Amino acid sequence: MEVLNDQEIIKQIQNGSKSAFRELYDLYFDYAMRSATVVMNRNAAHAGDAVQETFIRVYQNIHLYQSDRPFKPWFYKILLNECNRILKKNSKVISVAEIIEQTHNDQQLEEYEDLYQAIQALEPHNRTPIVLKYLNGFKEQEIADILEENLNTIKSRLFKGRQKLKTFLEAKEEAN
Amino acid sequence: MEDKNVDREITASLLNNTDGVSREKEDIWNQIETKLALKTVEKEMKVTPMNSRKTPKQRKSKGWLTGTIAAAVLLGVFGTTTDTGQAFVSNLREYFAPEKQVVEEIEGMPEEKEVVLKEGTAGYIIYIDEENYRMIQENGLDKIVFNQELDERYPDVSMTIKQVADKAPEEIAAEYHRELQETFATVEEITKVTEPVDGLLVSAIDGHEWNSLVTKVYIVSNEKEGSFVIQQNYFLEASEGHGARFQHMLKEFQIVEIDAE
Repeated sequence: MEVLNDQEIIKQIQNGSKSAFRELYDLYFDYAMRSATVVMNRNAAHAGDAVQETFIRVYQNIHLYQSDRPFKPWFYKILLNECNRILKKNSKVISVAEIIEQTHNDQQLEEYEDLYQAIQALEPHNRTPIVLKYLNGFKEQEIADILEENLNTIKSRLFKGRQKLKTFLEAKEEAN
Repeated sequence: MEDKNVDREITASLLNNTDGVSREKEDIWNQIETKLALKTVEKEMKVTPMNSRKTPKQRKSKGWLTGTIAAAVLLGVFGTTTDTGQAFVSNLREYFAPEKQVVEEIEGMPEEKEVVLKEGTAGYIIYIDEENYRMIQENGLDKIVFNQELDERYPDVSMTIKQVADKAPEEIAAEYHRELQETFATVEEITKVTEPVDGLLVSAIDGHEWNSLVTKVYIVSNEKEGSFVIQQNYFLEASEGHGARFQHMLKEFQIVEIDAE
């Protein structure tokens, strides 16, 4: 039913309703922020910029949205593009602290303090599908569409990411 | 560990560790409102996009743009046609992409880069290569300057843009031609150009050394009684570097006139 709700809101935005745009914002903001925070990892401070720019682009490009398709994947495609654009922009600037943290993250999973750090330590190409699946509830095919990747590639990335996290959890369980 | 437990743990971890990230919600909304000019009374406005071949890719209007106290009239200043169609928009960013990728040829090599939309105080928009330049205000003028500090050996590298409301391009070109002759060794005759802008050009060079001053002054009609004056300053050795980059940026110059309703 959420899709229908989305469609109704989109239709109203297309007809010029500001309150509908605010409704969309209320519906999508929280998970967009959560997703951007995890995806952007050490650039999480810029998650707000990515989310802000995403809503602006959604509003400006709402006429390009095809109403016969679900809105949520379209939204997240824009969000991830914004995250990547900002990450790329900031890629030339890396602090010594980040290098140290990166080195620490590259070490054995057993050294992680908790599961969230293990998720953050995953390679971006493994981490993003994990976020889309476990935080946003997307199916594998939807993730493949959002990331414009082959379905088998996404399956493989999800599997590898999940395996690392499972290994970490089991090691943590044993230690306890 | 069972698979379903792994899945549950991952979801719980993602949720628990991102609680509180939404604190900025209202601040971000206010930024969005400001950028999209949503704080105004909504009303239907008919938008007629400019037909200018140099205009950055414009967003298709749905006719639901919100109005503001000031309506922008976009005037294409490129191309051989003088299309004077008007577009009333509430926010320039409704019409022009905030950033875009362009390919420039610099010193014979193609360079792909992102350029960023800037709204000049003199009533125009331009896309700036922010990797190398920034826009500042100096003596009431918009000035695009090199990001790096150059030592004293290097002459000024800049592109200034101003609007002169009451003088036609021919009059201004004649003035610059006269003035430059007093300080530059060689001043070319005033020429009519269509690239990078449609207007008049006065160019001058002060010698043949690597650091000899080069200036190019483009004068473009403001579609009324006045003109826009764009002056590029650099040095001979930088002709294919800074000179070429200024030309690329100037290709994206577009007049935007703000009229009070």
